Amino acid sequence: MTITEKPQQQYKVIGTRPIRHDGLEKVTGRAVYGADVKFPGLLWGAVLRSPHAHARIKKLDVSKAAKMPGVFAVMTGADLVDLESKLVDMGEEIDNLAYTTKKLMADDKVVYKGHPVAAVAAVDLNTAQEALKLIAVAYEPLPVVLTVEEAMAPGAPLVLDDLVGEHLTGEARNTNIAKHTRYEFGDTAKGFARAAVTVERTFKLTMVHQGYIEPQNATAQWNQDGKLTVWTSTQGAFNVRDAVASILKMPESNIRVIPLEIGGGFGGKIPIYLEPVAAVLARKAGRPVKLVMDRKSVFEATGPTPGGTIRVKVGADSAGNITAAEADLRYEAGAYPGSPVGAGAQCIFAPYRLPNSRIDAYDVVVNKPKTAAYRAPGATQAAFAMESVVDEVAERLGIDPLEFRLRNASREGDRRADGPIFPRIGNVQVLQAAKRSAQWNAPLGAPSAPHKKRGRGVANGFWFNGGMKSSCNLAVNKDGTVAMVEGSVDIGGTRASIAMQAAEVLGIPAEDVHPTVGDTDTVGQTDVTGGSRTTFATGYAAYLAATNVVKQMMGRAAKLWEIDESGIEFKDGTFFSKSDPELRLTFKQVAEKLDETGGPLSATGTVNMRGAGGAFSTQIADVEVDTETGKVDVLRWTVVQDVGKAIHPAYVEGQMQGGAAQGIGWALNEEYFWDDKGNMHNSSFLDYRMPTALDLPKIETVLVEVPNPNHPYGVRGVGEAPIVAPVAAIANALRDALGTRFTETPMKPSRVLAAIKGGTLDGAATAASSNGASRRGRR
Amino acid sequence: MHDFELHAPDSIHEAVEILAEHGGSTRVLAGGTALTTMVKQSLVRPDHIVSLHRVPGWSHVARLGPEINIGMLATHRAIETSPLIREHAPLLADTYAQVATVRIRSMATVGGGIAHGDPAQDPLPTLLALNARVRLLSATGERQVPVGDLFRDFFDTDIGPDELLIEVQVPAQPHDLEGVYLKFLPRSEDDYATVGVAALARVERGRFQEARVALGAVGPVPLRATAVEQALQGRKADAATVRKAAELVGDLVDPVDDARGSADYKRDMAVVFTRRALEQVAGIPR
Repeated sequence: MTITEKPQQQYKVIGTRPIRHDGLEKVTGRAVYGADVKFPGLLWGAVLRSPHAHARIKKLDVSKAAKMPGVFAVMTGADLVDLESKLVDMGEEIDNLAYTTKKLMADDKVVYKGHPVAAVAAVDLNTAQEALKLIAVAYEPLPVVLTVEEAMAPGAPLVLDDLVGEHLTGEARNTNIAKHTRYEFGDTAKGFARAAVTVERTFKLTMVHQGYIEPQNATAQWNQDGKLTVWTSTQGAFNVRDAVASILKMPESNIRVIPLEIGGGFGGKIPIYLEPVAAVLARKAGRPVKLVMDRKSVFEATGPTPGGTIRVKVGADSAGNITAAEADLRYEAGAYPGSPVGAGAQCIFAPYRLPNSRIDAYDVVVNKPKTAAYRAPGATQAAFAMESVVDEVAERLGIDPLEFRLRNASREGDRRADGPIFPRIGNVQVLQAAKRSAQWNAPLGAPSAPHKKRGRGVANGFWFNGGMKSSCNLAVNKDGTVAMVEGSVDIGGTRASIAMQAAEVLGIPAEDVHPTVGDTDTVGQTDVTGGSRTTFATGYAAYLAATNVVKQMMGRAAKLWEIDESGIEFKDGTFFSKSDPELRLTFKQVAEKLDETGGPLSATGTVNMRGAGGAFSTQIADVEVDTETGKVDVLRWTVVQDVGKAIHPAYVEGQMQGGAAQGIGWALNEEYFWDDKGNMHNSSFLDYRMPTALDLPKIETVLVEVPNPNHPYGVRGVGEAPIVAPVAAIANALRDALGTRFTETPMKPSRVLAAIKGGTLDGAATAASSNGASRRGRR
Repeated sequence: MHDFELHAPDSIHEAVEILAEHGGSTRVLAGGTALTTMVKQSLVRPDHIVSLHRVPGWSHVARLGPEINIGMLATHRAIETSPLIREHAPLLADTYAQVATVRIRSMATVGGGIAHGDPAQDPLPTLLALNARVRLLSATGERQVPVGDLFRDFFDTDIGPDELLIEVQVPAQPHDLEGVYLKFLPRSEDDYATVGVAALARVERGRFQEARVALGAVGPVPLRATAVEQALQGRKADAATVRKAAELVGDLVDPVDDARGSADYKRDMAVVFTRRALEQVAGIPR
């Protein structure tokens, strides 16, 4: 279902559902991924990883491995030059180069299990892996810190000896707190004093992984002229190029990064892991080298999204207006600074208009893998806490949860708790659409068995979306089709959504624009496919390029008709003379005459976008709990989201469904299963379970179109907002079903059963004051 | 990955000759759904792999006497869809239909699924409850072993290094013996079972005339819950009897803590699913 705010503009291409341009290649298995790269003379690399989460390297001897037959090169951390502390913008996250180098390969200390210690290149993978066994490493294990509480405790072992923390009081040393940020408005003490109801709770989250199917990979080849080519699976080829250039201390123009098809990223393929290692090995070996991670390394040594602890306090007056809110977010950064706690802090209160607010955000290093972006990074954790507390405030006041959210909803012109003034947003429209949705108005129904209980929960979520740099080239073919090279790696159908915006301008079918994802030598600078920015920003670049093509084509028509350009109009794919109705040429007819009117015709569009326009996604969860096992089944689910303008509605719906599915997995199943030494015990897809199609109902979608004024078609990012609300929606549904407030992820069967049996877990005892049956009266 | 020599015999006799020669450092490859992963992850490091892909036959499903004979190379999918199995051992068809996904079931073989020795394999409790036997062939002869005597520990069976499991013999399920296989999946639908329970029962005049219960995934080997069976024998088929008998399972099972749940939780779930399975086969309403 689509709800459009104002009478819809008439579009020919936008809003339709053409088959994606890369669809056939992908369903027939012909699309080329990083693991498919093959050359004559290609060597295979393998990485030796630390078995300890925290240890000093006392001795590292690679001599035996280097002498093994079939081995061409061995490298250690000593082969990477230590870099000065320098922040580089990787798109959706900022990396410190000094730490990136150490993350790629340890120096004298390993700081997480799976930390690379050495690497080998050999004739084949088997030889490379066997050679790793000949590398002698003597470790001196150090005490580990695994949670924010342990890391922040006085006298805690230091994860990084040289960390300089940015605290409110200034720079701090001998700390695991990399950064403490505070946003404060009004006077929360006064606000809470006016409140009739105040709820304060502390939530705990565990680390979860994006779970992309394709492991990280990289292949590097040096040319005789000292230039380097890298083939890789990444969300941003230019970011890889710039980072590799800094790490290898070479000009970025001497590196060509070719992004291959990507088997899922979700933010996890923004950081670099293998590219510089492949490059160093290839330089030493004098032959191209390919590295592909195994699943265990993907789990243990790439960037998951953090666990942590979040405390939220919300007060409201008896009329249901929030008077004050406080949040304290402490996120595990992993072994190096840079958790998404900042984004969590910026998003946590975004759905609400708050007179008084205070947010404290702590970025805390622990002996776990360095976290990376994961779909609306940091916002899901924050929403779990805030939306749970908001639900409880509404419940205590006896106000319908959607009504309470509407009453306090942020609107255009309101100030977000971290400072910015909201531009045009669709928060209220989304909440109203949720209230009108089929699921919200349908009865929950009786449980399917006497030992089962049902509940319904709702939650709202915000993500601000990104803008940034994008480029697109168009060249008109003489058959009237258009070749497009754009800089964004295709995730979720972005070739189609970008090509459709050009096609709309050009007045030709989407199929007549032939999109190719460029590499760093074939298209202008383009930032990551991340931040839900691609259809918005690269689409805008395509729009600009197409507008330029139309203008040039108009000149060609003017030449053919021997009239002035100003006398020509272009509408619905046809050029026509304003004065002579006989003079009409379609886009294709003008294209056929390119050679007679001046030759080739091409155009470029480049943008550096701001004003992405945030998105709200409200979700409704109907669940059924087996009270004998604690298993939670999702019966029905609706995602209601402000999508600005859906360019390709099927892919927009797909993003909404995919985000919800990942959020449901996060809520119910997924967790890193740690021991107290920092070892992960479920580092395979066999033991780290994500929901399958068999586990989920069809996820219903309601597309609310509140156009973004900063885009010609009103596009807003849609990919990330839908993962923000699900964890909280499940928690609120469980509260409705069982009368128990869950404050810890995942809400797995054993945890749910323990709460049902004893109310001993997760603060359940204090929350069990009202039961689900009385609340269900509202429907 | 460890280097190994791949053998591809043309007959079972050639296969057991190779096993006799190389013995302990040899693994047999049938459908490959388990072994290839284990070899890739270096969980096993065989020097020799005997692949059965060139062995003709031995995927039969036949009824020659009172028993159903299933060749080692019959796939899970073949059991799930066989009209013969559906008629004479419906519980077996129902059980094999619940293994993993259809992609796995189309590759995984009956012989491999047993010889693997993984206590979480769904068919094992059902084969135990149906009193199935396996035929083990070696270069020096053949022996038959009841499935109940086959398993010694996690991934450890009574099958000798020189022996090949060539056939499974399953007594037909009497038509008046109701059967069910229930598995508990706390996480996702295609996961390994956290608890698997096979139950068979005949209730006459309101009493259990016969009851069989076996469990998988809750200890180092699949187990027959004879204590539960005895507690039901001749007793009234009602909710109270079943509840009490199912409680006995808690002392029989020996699960491990892992990402699917703690040992205590799994023990509780073994009781719950035993009770549910028995209620279902005895037709006791809840």
